Amino acid sequence: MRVEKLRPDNDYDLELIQKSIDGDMDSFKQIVEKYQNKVARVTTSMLGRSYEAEDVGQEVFIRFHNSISKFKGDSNLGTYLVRIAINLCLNSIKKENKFKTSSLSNGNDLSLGGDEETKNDIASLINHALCSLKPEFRSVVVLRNIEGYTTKETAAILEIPQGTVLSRLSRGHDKLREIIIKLEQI
Amino acid sequence: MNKLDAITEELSKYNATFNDGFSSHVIEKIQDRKSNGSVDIMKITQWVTLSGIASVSLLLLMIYFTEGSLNMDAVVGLINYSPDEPLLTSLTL
Repeated sequence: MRVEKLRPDNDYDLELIQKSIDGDMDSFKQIVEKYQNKVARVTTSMLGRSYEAEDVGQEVFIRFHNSISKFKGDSNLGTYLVRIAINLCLNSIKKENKFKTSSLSNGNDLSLGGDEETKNDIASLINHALCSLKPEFRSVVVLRNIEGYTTKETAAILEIPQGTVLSRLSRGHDKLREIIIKLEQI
Repeated sequence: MNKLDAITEELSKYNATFNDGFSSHVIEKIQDRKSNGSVDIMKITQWVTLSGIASVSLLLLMIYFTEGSLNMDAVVGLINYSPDEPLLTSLTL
């Protein structure tokens, strides 16, 4: 058994971070490989399964690398990366006003085809519906329901009060339900 | 199970991955940006400070060789200046 498997996860992350600060790119690559799926879940659920989601995903790790020495380990590395990912997604949406042109009309969509079989699939419906939500509702739904963060953690990541998280989550669920019912009728 | 439960359950199962070679692309981009001269602010500060120190040293050296001293009068250019000179000049005009 490898030694690091016996250590707490955070300690191993900190060790990789220290090696990355010292210029060891293999250690940084290990960080990327460990957290890329977590970041992918956030960026694709926020931006749709598009090339843009992957670009933003890359930017998350590049930004983290550029400011790696500022990471003191006060929070979990995964949470830290999710915070960067959410902020970059929100910036990207703001820049392109993406919520006005949801992935339903997005030509860059990688995986959501137009065939009937895909449209009837609940996972695809939810993906379409998520992209149709306003960014402020979408970010809360992504963090609470997809990433499984608590209300308190979600509030801390988005820097909003816990009450706002709860109200946005409730409204987000209502909107999702409405959108999915509409999509099912198509 | 009602609609909302189905939605939240489906959301909790949501999964996504990036294309193969994602981590290699990230590393390549980091190395590209490094080599494409993303100029480090520390290096600029260091360069400006060093060139400033070099200019001041050169100036002091020139003053020392021309005036033979580095006292305050030599530095401000008053070493050969007599305080009565303006008065004499104005009286002789």
